[in-house]
Amino acid sequence: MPKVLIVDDAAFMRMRSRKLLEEHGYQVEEAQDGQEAVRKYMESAPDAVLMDITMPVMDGIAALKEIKKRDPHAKVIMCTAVGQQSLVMEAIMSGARDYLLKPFDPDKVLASLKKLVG
Amino acid sequence: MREGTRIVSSINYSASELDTLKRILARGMESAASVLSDMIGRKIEMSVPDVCFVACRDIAKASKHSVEEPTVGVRIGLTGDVTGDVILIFPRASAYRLVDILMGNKPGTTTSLTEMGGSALCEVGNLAGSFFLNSLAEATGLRAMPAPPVLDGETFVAKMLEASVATNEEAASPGTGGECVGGRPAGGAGRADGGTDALVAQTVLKQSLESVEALFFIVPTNNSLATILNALSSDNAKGNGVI
Repeated sequence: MPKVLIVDDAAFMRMRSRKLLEEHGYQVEEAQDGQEAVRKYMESAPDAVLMDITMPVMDGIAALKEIKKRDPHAKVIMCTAVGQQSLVMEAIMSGARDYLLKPFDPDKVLASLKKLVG
Repeated sequence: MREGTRIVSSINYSASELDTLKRILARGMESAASVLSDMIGRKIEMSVPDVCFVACRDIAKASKHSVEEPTVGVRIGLTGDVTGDVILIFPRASAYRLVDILMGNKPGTTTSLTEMGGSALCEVGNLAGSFFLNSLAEATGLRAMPAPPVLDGETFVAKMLEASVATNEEAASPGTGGECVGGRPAGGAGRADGGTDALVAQTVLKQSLESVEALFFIVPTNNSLATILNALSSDNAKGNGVI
């Protein structure tokens, strides 16, 4: 069962994502900011990460860079409402494997995860 | 606008610059309204945005649509090239109905704001703020980020606007950003009487079927207004006119 780390400061979004992923056979871990995401990534070695960008303590771009520094093969999908071109480029250049624009679209999230981890 | 509100056009901007700012802000608000429709799966109507300068000391009276009873407010600070606030104000009944829609509850289930309900409203604010900035970035090339939303479960329109404009005035004070931006006087949009103006863009979002209503405000800092105009004029000078 592939394990996915959901990173979002909004409890509401973590709840929606968890429900969707568990219904489709994924095991789920959660983190509510970038710093916690880096720690949990190292602890539980998930198969993929679903990462928001706007978060307190450490934002999603900084967390992406930290995770890629520790594991260059990390599969990180950005899932955010911020769609500015320069930010999308920064995320992709920093190693994000996909960039999903909110509002949360279950089909797109599942398709992206399936492509990465099956 | 309610009686007694003093509206003054900033002496720092020409009529055409003000018109440009109004169009840019209105377009951003439309983009935000559109994504909220997508989020809840129901069409959200938006009134024509009203954009005007208001004397900071009168900011409490700036709302065109008075909500006297306590409301639920979500404030999203903007950081980066453009600073200021995006503010959503929900009458309580509307906030509860919106939470029911977002959580997939039967109408009338929510009668007080739980942590999860508050988080759902914050996500609405996050989308509104982010899509406003996405639209602004597309038009100007500027980069700005929304801060994590802050929820106030018992607030008033006036209180939210006063808090926002206090940040604006702080940015305008000497030594904290009052320098010139691209040749324009940055910081407070000064008036002849030495006071400061704030630009307030506001509209009403309505989902008629579910009787959900929200007031939607954009309060950019005056530094940001100069930055936006400078970005647009340099774009136009390069022949990449975007407006």
